[in-house]
Order: sequence, then structure tokens, then C-alpha cells
Amino acid sequence: MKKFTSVITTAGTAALLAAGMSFSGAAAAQQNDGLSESAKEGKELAFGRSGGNCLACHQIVGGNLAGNIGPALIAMKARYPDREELTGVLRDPRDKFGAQTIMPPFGAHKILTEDEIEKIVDYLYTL
Amino acid sequence: MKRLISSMIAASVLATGGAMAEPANPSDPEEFRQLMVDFYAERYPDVPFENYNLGVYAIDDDARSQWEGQMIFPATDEFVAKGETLWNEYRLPNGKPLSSCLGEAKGLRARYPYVNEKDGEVHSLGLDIINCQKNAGEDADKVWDPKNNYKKLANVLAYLASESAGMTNQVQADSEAAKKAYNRGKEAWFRRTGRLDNSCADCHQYHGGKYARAEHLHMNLGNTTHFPAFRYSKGSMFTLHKRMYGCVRDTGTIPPAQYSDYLRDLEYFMSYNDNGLELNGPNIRK
Ligand code: HEC
Ligand code: HEC
Repeated sequence: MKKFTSVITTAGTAALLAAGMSFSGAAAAQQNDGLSESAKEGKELAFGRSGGNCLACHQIVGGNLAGNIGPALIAMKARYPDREELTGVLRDPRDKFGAQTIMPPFGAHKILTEDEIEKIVDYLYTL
Repeated sequence: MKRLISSMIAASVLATGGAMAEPANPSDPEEFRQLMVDFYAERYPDVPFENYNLGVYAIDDDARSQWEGQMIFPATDEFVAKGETLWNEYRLPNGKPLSSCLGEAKGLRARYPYVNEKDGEVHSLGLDIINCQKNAGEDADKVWDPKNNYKKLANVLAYLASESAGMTNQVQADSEAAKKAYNRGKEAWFRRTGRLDNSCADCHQYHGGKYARAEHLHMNLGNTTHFPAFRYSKGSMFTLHKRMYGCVRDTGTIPPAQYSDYLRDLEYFMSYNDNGLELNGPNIRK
């Protein structure tokens, strides 16, 4: 986490948001201890560029070169005690944040399946 | 305040296609351009206006010093030289040079884009070159369109940019047709499209200055003056239309073709907003 701000500006990699760019699993492989199978898959989806690509906009512990368009995803249990509410944010963030939100409507636009969203939520609750 | 103006602009543009007489969404190009300048100035009060044409380097000191190093012996020189040769040696099927159709190279780029009152269309320098060739009966596979001869097109645009570098960007929008084109382009800037449901404004205005992964997002001005741009991460020259095409595609939208009405309207809107800035193409970007 501490490293984010310094790493970002000097990075030489051409990491575009573009879908289809392959994702190196190196970062995700770390610190997977204690995650359920479902949460592990959720983490991969959250970190990968073609799945959730949450790192494009959110800092998440263990994720390299994260963006800062949205808030850091931390303490999710405390902040979203109601699972349905958190799932709702992923399905269609416009319901909670208004039509102007930049966060994609992952469920409504079928970027992720319902099953994938549940797995990501399992992972978010480990943060 | 910032957020208020920005969401009002977006909301009214989106809701009404720009027609609504909201104070935050004037249909007059000059009034709206001023709002765009104010938006930038409010977020980055310390960035002088003349630096806006540096794109993200205006707001990113580290990247800027790296870029300054790259501009000492710029990679663009080679493309300019190739483009100059092409411009001088190419002949239309009637034996005449392109200047017979477009005028002399010096200052040519600085007269674009413009709206032709008769057809109501935005004229983009790249498309006018292509149309000169087509109208003169050039073989389809020899026309410098993005599909068949992209490199030639990009090289000539690099040369023509260099022949207007240092001039001031001053796109005109006096006619009714021009105002309409500007407002169509504005709508395109704020329109959210694709699977990601993002607009240009989402990334380059409301969230300008933030990071998408490792990419530092430039602000809402400085989109046009420096093209074509050599992208060192890709090792090749990007015309403005190729760049716009890529950004639309990345939102999960099937992009309109390069030089389509849609992208030319967008070019016109962004170019008009860059008025008063120095033309600084061809330039280098990540
Ligand atoms: C294009 C940028 C973007 C992407 C990609 C993105 N988000 Fe977001 N997200 C945001 C923004 C911005 C907000 C804050 C709400 C707002 O201002 O619209 C947000 C809010 C959230 C919130 C609520 C946080 C809070 O504090 O209430 C959660 C949870 C969340 N995002 C999870 C995710 C997950 C999980 C993914 C990947 C599947 C993801 N986001 C992908 C931009 C993004
Ligand atoms: C999901 C975020 C996103 C969206 C939406 C987006 N872009 Fe971009 N764009 C980027 C990134 C990242 C870059 C590279 C860094 C920078 O210059 O901002 C970029 C770069 C550019 C550049 C090159 C800037 C330069 O200095 O050379 C132009 C021009 C551009 N975008 C135009 C557009 C237009 C027009 C739209 C709307 C059709 C758009 N973008 C939508 C993310 C986005």
C-alpha cells in the first residue's frame, strides 16, 4: 500500500485499460493463504484486466500499479455489513452512486456473471 | 462547485442532447470553451494556460522531465522527414502535387479543422488529403486512408504538423453549421458508451489527473494540438483519429470509423476547446 504513489509515475510499463491484455498472475499468487476457493477466484477476477479490472480504479492490498479513480477497497465487512448492498454495487453502481458514476455496471452490462460477482464479493469480505 | 458544474454539464447534455438552455451548458462554443478552461483552472490553479497543450505532462512533473529528455533528439524527426519527401514527390493521377488541391504546406494544419457551411461537415486535414486523392481518381489501394496506407498518412500529417508548429490554434466557429458541429461533438464527449458505460469526460475531465492503473489521465484540454504523436510505448506514430478510435474501443464500444462524422465532430469540439494554445505537433507521448 505505501508503495503505490511512488511506483506509479515512474513505471515504464504500458499498462492500458484495454481489454484483452493478458494478466500476469504474479501479484495474485501472493498472500492467498486462508482464502476460500471462491474468494481466490474472486481475487483473480478483481485483479485481472479482462474480468473485473477493479485495480484499474481501486487500490487493493497486494495489487500492483492500482489506479485511484475510486476509493481504496478496505474494511469491507465493517462498511458493508449487508451483503446484498455490496453485491448491488457490483451489479449496478448507478443505483447507489447515481447515473454519473464512472464505475461500470458489471452485472447490468453483463461484464461479469452473477456467479463471478458473488465470488468477487466473497473476496471483498476478506479485505 | 466543481462537481456541481461538471455534473450539471453532463446531466443536461445527456438529457437533452445539448439543446437545453441550462446556464451550465451554453450552446455557444465560446461560452462553453470558457467553462472548460475554468474547469481545468479550478482543478489545477498552478498550471499556466499555455502548458495545457502538454497533455498529462502539464500535471505530472516526473513524466514531464522524462519527456523533456525525449524531445532533445525527438523520435518524430524521422517521420517528419519521410512525410516531407512524400508531400514533395507524390503526384495525383493528373500529375499535380497535393498542394494543388490543399494549398501550400506552411500553415496548412493551422487552418484545420473547419466546418464547411455548405455541407455542414467538419473537415479534418487527414480526410481532406484522402478526398483529394479519391476525387482525382487515385487507385483505391494507393489512397492514404487509415486502412491501406496508414503510415503514409501519419508521416504526411507529421510533416504538415511541423509546418504549423509554433502557430496558435484558432479554430473558427462562427457559422450556424459550425455551432451545430461543436454541439454534436460536445454531446459525444459527454456521452457514455459501451460495456464500461464511460464517456470521454469520465476519464479526461471528472477524473482527469487521477490514475487508471498506471496511466495518469490527462485533463479536458490539450487533446489535439500535438498530433500526430509518437507513442514510445508502442514505437509508432498515432494520428488523432487513431487515438480517439482506441479510447472509444477501450470503453467496450464498437468504435465509429476513423474520420467518421462522429469522430470528426469530436475532433472539432476538442480542437475548438484548445483555442489559444500553441500548435506543438508532432509530439511524443507515452
Ligand atoms: C472505471 C473505474 C472503476 C472500476 C473499473 C471499478 N470501480 Fe468501483 N468505484 C469506482 C468509483 C469512482 C467509486 C466511488 C463511487 C463514485 O464516486 O461513483 C467506486 C465505488 C466502489 C465501491 C463502493 C466503495 C465505498 O466506499 O462505498 C465498491 C465496493 C467498488 N467500487 C468495488 C469495485 C469492484 C469490486 C470492482 C471490480 C469488479 C470495481 N469497483 C471496479 C470506480 C471504479
Ligand atoms: C476508461 C478511461 C478512458 C476513457 C473513457 C477515454 N480515455 Fe482517452 N485516454 C485514456 C488513457 C489512460 C490515456 C493515456 C493517458 C492520458 O493521456 O490521459 C488516454 C489518452 C487519450 C488521448 C491522447 C492524449 C495525448 O496527450 O496524446 C486522447 C486524444 C484521448 N485519450 C481522447 C479520448 C476521447 C476523445 C475519449 C472519448 C471518446 C476518451 N479518450 C475516452 C483513458 C480513457
